Parts: sequence; C-alpha cells; structure tokens
Amino acid sequence: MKVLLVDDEIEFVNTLSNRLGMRGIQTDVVHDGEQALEYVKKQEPDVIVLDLKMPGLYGMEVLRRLSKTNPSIQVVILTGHGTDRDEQEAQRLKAFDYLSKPADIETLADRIKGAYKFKMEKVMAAVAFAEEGEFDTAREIAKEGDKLKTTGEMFKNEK
Amino acid sequence: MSKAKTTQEPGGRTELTRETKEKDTGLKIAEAQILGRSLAFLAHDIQNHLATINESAGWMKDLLEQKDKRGFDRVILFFKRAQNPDRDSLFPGLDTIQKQVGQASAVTKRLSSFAHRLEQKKSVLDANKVLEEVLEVLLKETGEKGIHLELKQTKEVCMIEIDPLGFQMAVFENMKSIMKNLKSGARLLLETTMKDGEFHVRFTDSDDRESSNSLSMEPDSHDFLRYMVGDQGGRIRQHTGNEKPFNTLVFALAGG
Repeated sequence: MKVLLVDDEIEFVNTLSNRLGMRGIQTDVVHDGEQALEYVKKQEPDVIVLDLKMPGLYGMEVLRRLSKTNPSIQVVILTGHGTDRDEQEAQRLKAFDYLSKPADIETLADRIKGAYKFKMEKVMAAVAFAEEGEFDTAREIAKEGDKLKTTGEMFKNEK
Repeated sequence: MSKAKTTQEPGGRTELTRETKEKDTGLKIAEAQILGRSLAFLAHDIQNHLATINESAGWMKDLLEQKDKRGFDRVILFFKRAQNPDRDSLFPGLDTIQKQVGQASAVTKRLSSFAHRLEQKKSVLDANKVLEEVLEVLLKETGEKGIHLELKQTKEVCMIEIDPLGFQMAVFENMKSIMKNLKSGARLLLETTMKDGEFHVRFTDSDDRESSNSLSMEPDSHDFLRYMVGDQGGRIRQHTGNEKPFNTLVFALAGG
C-alpha cells in the first residue's frame, strides 16, 4: 500500500508518519498542494491523507484536480479548518473520508486501510467484469466506483 | 462601530437616508464577516498546534508501549543504559510539545488582545500597535495566498482616535481588495508615516513584475471602503501617477 501524507505543518506530519509506520503503514510526506500533484505524476499512491488549508494550492483544489486526473486514488481529508461546506464539497468530489484534527491515530489508520481496501475491491471488480467481457461496466467501475461506494462506506464503519 | 449619519427633515424629525442605512448595514455585515474570518483563522492556528501536541504525545506513548512489549529484560536494560535510545527518542517529542504549547499560547494571547480591542468603543490608541495586531491575523491568510507581507513602521508614536474594529476593518477591506489582484509570489508593502498631523498607511505592491493594475479597485468596493474609512474620520487616497501605484489610508492624529 502506497500512502502519501500532505500537510504544511512539518512537525505534525512527520510525527504522524512515524506513528503510522509503527502501525505498519509506510508513508511518504510532502508539504503543499503543488508537491502533492508532482508526486502523483511520478508515482501514483493508493491513498492520500490531505490537509485543506495549505500555502499555495488549497487541499480542496488538489482533490478537485485528482478527481479528474486520478480518480482511483482514495483521499482522506484531515483538516483543522473544516467547515460544513468543505465537508460537503469533499463528499461531492468523492473523498473517501473527512476527519478533523486532532484525529485519533487508530481511527486514521483504520480509514487509510479502509480506503485502500475500497480501492482494491474496485480494481478487482473491474477486472472481474472485464474477464466476463463486460468492458463498459468494468470501465464504469474503474472510472466512477459509484456502485462500490456503498462498500467503501461499509469499511468506514468497520472498526 | 458604524455611526449612522442623519439628515434633518423640515418637520424637525431626524431620519436616516436610505443610502446611509444601506451603507451602515453593509458595514455591519462586513464587521461580522471580518470578525468571523479572523476568529476562524486563529482557531485554525490553535487547532494545528493542538494536533501537533496530540501527535507528539501519542508518539511518546507509542514508544513507551513498544518498550513494554519488548519484555521485562529489555526494560531492565533500558534503565541500566546510561545513554538509552528511548530517552533520545522521547526528548524531541517533549521539546515539540513545549514549543507547540508556547506557540498556541502566543495565538491565544493574540486572540485575547484582539477580542479586548473589540470591546473598546472609540478611543485614543497607538495606530502602529493596532496595525500590527491586524497584520498578525492577516499574516496567515497572505501566506496561504503566497503573498509576502512587509511592514515598515515609523518609529514615532502615532496616537489616533479610532474605533478599533472600524480601523481593523478598513485595513482588512483595503488589503482584501488589493490581494484580489495580486498573484502568488507578490510582495505587499505597508509603510506607516506621520505627516502634517496625520497618520498614513501606504500600501504598495513591491512586486518587481509589471503590475500597474494591482492596486486598482472596483468602483463599488472603492466607494464602500471610502465610506468605511470616512466613518473612522479618515480618508483614502489612491495614487496612480508615474510612480508605482499605491493606496494610502489617512487618519488624523489625536489632538492634532
């Protein structure tokens, strides 16, 4: 599982990376939106944990761009500045989850694993449909993932 | 706070003009928006420090729990070692917590001083000090937009009679309209001077790139800003001559 943490609070994100590492989740870290998009161009992560308020490119803009260019990446928003409107917008852009800082590390680790599981389910479902020759459905799943979104929601509640 | 201007009708009844009423309503809305935005920024700052404290404390707990899992022998070894790695790992965490508590405390002090200023009605205040407080709140916002804010203050003490919220609002609104036209990487310079019994705050885009329109404003927002500054007994001056364009907010010195 490839996980990218995006946050401009350097001490926070480095400690978070260490703690996730202790829970078997290895992560890479970048500190702003532009760096995140650059990283994605070079190596697509499975899950991104994304802060919203960062210098330069806002997290929501990163999510908006990723939803167009890399819809299979699952994004977990982790913010200290969340508003209801942000949460709705993140939902509309199909973020996997939305957490407020400070978040419980076990909850965050669960959400990351859930997001990864969701992505894998989507890939496997797409492959299964493709093997059956139902390429349109496979493409639809790979692109949107809406049919499996409910499965993703189930992971969220799994604790 | 905004003070309604009145007109005397022939019958002796004093009534607000419709235009003044609308502008005063606009001022109240702007006041609420600025307050909300400032509080949200400060709360966000505190939240970030708390999140870092939470992670650092959690990290130390993780290390200690890991040590427990290693078994009793390892614990004995842990205490026997003069220089043990756990100690080295724990100290940075403690340092981070102390640092973050200090920074969070600085934010709450800022918040407290900002809030107390709002309690005050019109009073004689050190304009440079009030300006510094406004900019501290704005610093985060300009930073997020990639705009570098510079403040050059006169060393003279400039006491002006203002309503602090109204003054802060005038600076906020001016900055807001300027920042709308600035691109990431631009530098915005605020210079304060004392001249002819007046306090001047000059806003210049110190960006090296061509930016002749960066300090121009929409007519509506200019009109509103003029009203807002006027409400504080000040005025706004826009200069678009041969030199770099700039805006200046001008307030009369107290007793001047």
